[in-house]
Amino acid sequence: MQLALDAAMTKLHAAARTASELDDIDALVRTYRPRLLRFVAFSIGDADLAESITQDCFLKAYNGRESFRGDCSVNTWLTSIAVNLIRDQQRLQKFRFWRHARATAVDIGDAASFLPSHESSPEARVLAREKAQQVQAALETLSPNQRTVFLMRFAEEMDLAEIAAATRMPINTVKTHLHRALKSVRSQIGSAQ
Amino acid sequence: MNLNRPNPNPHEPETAMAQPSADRFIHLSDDQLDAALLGELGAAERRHLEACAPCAARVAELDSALADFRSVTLAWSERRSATLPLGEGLRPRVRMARPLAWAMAASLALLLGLVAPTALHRQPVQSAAQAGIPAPMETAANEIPTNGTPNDGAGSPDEQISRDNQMLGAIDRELDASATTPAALGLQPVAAERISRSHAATLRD
Repeated sequence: MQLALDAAMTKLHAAARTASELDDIDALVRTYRPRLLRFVAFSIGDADLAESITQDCFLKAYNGRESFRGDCSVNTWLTSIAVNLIRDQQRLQKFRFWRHARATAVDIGDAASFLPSHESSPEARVLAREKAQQVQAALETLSPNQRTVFLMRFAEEMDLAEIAAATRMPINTVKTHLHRALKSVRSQIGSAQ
Repeated sequence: MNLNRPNPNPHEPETAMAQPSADRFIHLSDDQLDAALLGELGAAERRHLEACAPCAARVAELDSALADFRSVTLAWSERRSATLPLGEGLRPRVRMARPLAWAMAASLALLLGLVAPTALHRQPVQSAAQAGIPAPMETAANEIPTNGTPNDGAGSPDEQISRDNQMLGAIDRELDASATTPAALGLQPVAAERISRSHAATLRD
């Protein structure tokens, strides 16, 4: 009985803490935007559109913060909002989605130079950039669902339950998409090397 | 986990590990490698992975490519995110849009309220001065000299102050001497009995 009460109180405190975290829009953006922007950018392949969607995502989250019950982490909640916005965008631009993406495509060519220099040598950074570009190229060949779960698992490092919650897919469906995506990416990386 | 036929060459796809404890050269299949990356490897395959350098190298190679993708893309998005505004870009659209608009309108109205009378007040003086007509109520202190020629056509500042003082004194005297009684204003005093009669007639009607 006492344990149940303690658990309920802990959950209540966590929810209150999260609610106050959501009230501070600056802190929310500062903490979660880089990861969210990455997820959106590599989901749609368009940097400018990704910024716009990420902005909408924070706006939607801030306006709907009262509805956040604390069942999942703020990151998972934000990612699920981003997934819906990306789906809306994909529906709207079904036929010109990737064609448009080419104009403002995500270019990570020089991103490796921003890696912390104390962690790697210049040669290692060049190698890291090449590998990252191979994965990025492989991502573009995946279906939207495969790409989403792949990014959630291997970029955002979300576990299967979190991915299932964010995408509203059954865990087995998530696993299927993930295995297919990984197989495709692995074969393309292997053939590129 | 399927443990099918042996895979003596770790770089050949579509092969699987069979009896890992019996033959350490039977390597993990591609599906098993994926399972290793997803953290879903069974106990037997995990043991094989710990003992088999080629399989461990294949997993490490894929793992390292994914880690590079993670770090490079995060560096990219952090860099890009740093160039964007924080919540300020959102806040006016979220809650402050209307109050901010009202505040700006109020500030503008206040500014106009302060500036407009001054401008209107100054305009006739300038036009009068341009026409050579002295402004009657303007004091010397309010006349701002331009181009270093103080009080064009109005004499020295002392004379101007003296004239102003005379004018103000005249106004004061006129106000003091002005009629303030009803008789002085041409009104007849009303008798008390006339008022009561008029009041009674009103009540009767």
